[in-house]
Amino acid sequence: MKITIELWGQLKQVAGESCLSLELPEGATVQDAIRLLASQAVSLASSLVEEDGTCRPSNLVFVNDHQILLSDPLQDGNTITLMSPIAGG
Amino acid sequence: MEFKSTPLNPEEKATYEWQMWVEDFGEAGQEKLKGATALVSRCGGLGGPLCYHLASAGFGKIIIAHAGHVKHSDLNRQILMTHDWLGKPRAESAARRLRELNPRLEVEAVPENISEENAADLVGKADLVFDCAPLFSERFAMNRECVRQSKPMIEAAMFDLEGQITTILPGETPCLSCLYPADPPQWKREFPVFGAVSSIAASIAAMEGIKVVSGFGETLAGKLLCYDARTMNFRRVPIKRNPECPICGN
Ligand SMILES: [Zn+2]
Repeated sequence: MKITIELWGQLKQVAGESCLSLELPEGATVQDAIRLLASQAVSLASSLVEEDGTCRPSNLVFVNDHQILLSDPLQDGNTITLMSPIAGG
Repeated sequence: MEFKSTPLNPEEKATYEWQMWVEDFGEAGQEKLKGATALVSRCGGLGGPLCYHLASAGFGKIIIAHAGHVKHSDLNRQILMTHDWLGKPRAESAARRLRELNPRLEVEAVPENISEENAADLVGKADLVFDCAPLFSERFAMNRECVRQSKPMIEAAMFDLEGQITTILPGETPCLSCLYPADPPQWKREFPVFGAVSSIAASIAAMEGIKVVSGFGETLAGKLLCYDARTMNFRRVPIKRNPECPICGN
């Protein structure tokens, strides 16, 4: 299935683009998508996953405008929004 | 949350006449603003214009917490700092500018940033808090105290051309630690910024504070408003409490 990834904050800056797409097998979860993204876009890896491969808890994750759990399954055509934490004042 | 009202004098009625025409706000809303004390953590690119809007809207008292002295690199966005004040304390510069705008306003300038040591005391003096600090350690210290003392906190942040705002009502909405359970390692204190972008977040945060205190309209409680000034894309997404949050969880 095809998933769109939207990036905000420093993730967008590091990736150099705000929108990416991923191809994932049926039944894949949000966590699977983030791990795949980290393996394909190496510059993003350290911002997305810890050294042991778990997703960093400090990024906000939405699927189609709903805040979700990383273990939630994805549907074909979903858009995942990843927002890195920002604190500029 | 209840905020106390303070009656207006004739000069104040004349000053705030046009905003008292706003439906559901009126003189009762203005009296609530006059009775309110706001704590603003840092009065830089975001907190500066925010303070200016609170001052012009008629808040009774503003406590500004901001350390350091005015530098050249502040002046592209920190609109309460002025060229002739270079090398002098930022909190004093901001207080001086707010008093020029509104001599009725009581301003307390604290030449310190929010820390674990002073957060309890400063939050304790305020009715509501505006979080505009550039470091998560300061934001987390304020969040913890606001939750503990059950004070609303308007959370506003920006990076590059983006901004985020949410209104935290302890016990009702997610707190900052629900959103970000750990100090984000990627965040750096210095970041790309245009003053106009931080001013967008400042104006929205000021309006949130006005609504929280006067009790009208719909706030960003439980919602995160995100904008990207590069594309002018504005998005408002619902956010959830974390039942395991170490700060506000059960
Ligand atoms: Zn919480």
